[in-house]
Amino acid sequence: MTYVSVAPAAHLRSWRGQDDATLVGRVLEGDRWASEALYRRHVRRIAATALRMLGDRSEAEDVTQDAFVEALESLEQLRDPSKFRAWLLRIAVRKVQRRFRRRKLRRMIGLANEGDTPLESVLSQGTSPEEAAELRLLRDALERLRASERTAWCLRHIEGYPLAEVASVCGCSLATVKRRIEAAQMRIDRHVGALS
Amino acid sequence: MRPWHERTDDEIIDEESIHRMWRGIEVRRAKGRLRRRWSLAAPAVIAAAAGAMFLWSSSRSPAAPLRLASGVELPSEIAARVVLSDGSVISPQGGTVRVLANRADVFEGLLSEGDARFEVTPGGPRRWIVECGWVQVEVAGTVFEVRRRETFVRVSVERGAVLVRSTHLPEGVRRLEPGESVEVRRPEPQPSRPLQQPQPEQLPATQSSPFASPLSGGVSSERQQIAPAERESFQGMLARADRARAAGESAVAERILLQALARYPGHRDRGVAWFTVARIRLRKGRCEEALGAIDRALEEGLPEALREVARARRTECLEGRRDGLLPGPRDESEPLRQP
Repeated sequence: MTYVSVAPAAHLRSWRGQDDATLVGRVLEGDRWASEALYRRHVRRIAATALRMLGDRSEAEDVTQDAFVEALESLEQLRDPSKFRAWLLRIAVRKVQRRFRRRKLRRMIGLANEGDTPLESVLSQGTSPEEAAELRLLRDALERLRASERTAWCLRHIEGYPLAEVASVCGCSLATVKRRIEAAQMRIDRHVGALS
Repeated sequence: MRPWHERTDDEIIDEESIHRMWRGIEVRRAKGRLRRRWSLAAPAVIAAAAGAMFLWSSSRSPAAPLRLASGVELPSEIAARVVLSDGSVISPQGGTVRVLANRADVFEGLLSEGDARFEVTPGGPRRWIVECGWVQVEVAGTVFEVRRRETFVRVSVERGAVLVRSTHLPEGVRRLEPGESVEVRRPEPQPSRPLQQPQPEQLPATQSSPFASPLSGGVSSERQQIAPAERESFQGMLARADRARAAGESAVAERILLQALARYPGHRDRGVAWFTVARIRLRKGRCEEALGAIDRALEEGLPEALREVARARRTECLEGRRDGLLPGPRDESEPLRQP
């Protein structure tokens, strides 16, 4: 297996002024550097979103790679190339949701303990014990949510996406997203309130 | 440092992670391309491999009897050119080849009449035997023709070598090389001499065997030979039967042999005795009775060389019975009981 080295940033400099639609067109024409340009343009957002939702760095990187592979391999299915970012985010979020479901299933069949996300991997060194306790409580509450509710809640409250974009990424209506977020918030409040 | 959920994307994802993830993406895409290519080519590759395995197993499997090249079971009678599963070809002309045996170790066919060309693929796991009445052809990887007529059988070899067996050949067998041929003429049936009814008072006292009384010969010399010594051995009786046969007294010889068979039920040479009985009966044209004796001989056990000849004679009998060339049981005047 030949490993392809990452192109130096200088090679990508010429693509900086190009919009997503142009880059998508070039990728479809077989331009390998355009793929990397698209990747570099969006990877931070996708990876950070995945990390914040999953709370696990290795899982987040895995999801990011999966999302980019799927996007680049099925690029011809993208009807509007200018909406590459939203499309890519939707793919990534779908994969995150799948991870949520898998975790829940693992817990149900006893293969994982509740809240098995390594919290330490996402805590910074300067986090106080009180903050760590609160984050652990929040993480436990999130673990108990349905995948769809958790995704919508995270995208809205952690990533800060507008409701319309959350609906677009989740592939449902605005009303549904609002209902999911509300339900998630109620469960979190109940869990946190009961324990505190 | 702020908690992770408050940090920006650039703070969370560093350059090293970006490099690492891109390498992973490239590898996954390469694997995916390989998998897609394989999934496109896999059906063709699997089909080709299955076909090759089928051909290999059908040509090499020692357990499989021969079939037609198309995979259809071999017919019991081959009347036209056929290609077999091992690549061999049988081309009958003006006759048929009846399949007598089709096993993993032997293929045996009977050419009743006409010509047939055999192209036997060399190196196969089985012996090929072609029966032609009084002639038997044994082959291993060769091309040869067999021509059968009313009065002769001619075997010509084009490639390889065959063994032609017949009691009418010097030493009973001849090896044919490419370009050689041999013609074996049909033996003339020997006119059977009518046997005289024996006089009961002429029979010796020792002839209490059920075979003896109705079969006793009519001449005094025979009576001398029939009367065995009190403690005559099995081999001694066989030797006496041989002498009688050499003297032209085949009926006496047969009777002695049957007496020996009745007297020594567990002897190891009983198969040879039965086969001698069969030959005597065949020579007299008593095909049906000869068949029974051959079967008993094969049951009792014969040496390898004699076994082949016995099978050939048996085929000859069956064929003679079918074609009406050989008479069946002669008449009531010469009954033969088998023990």
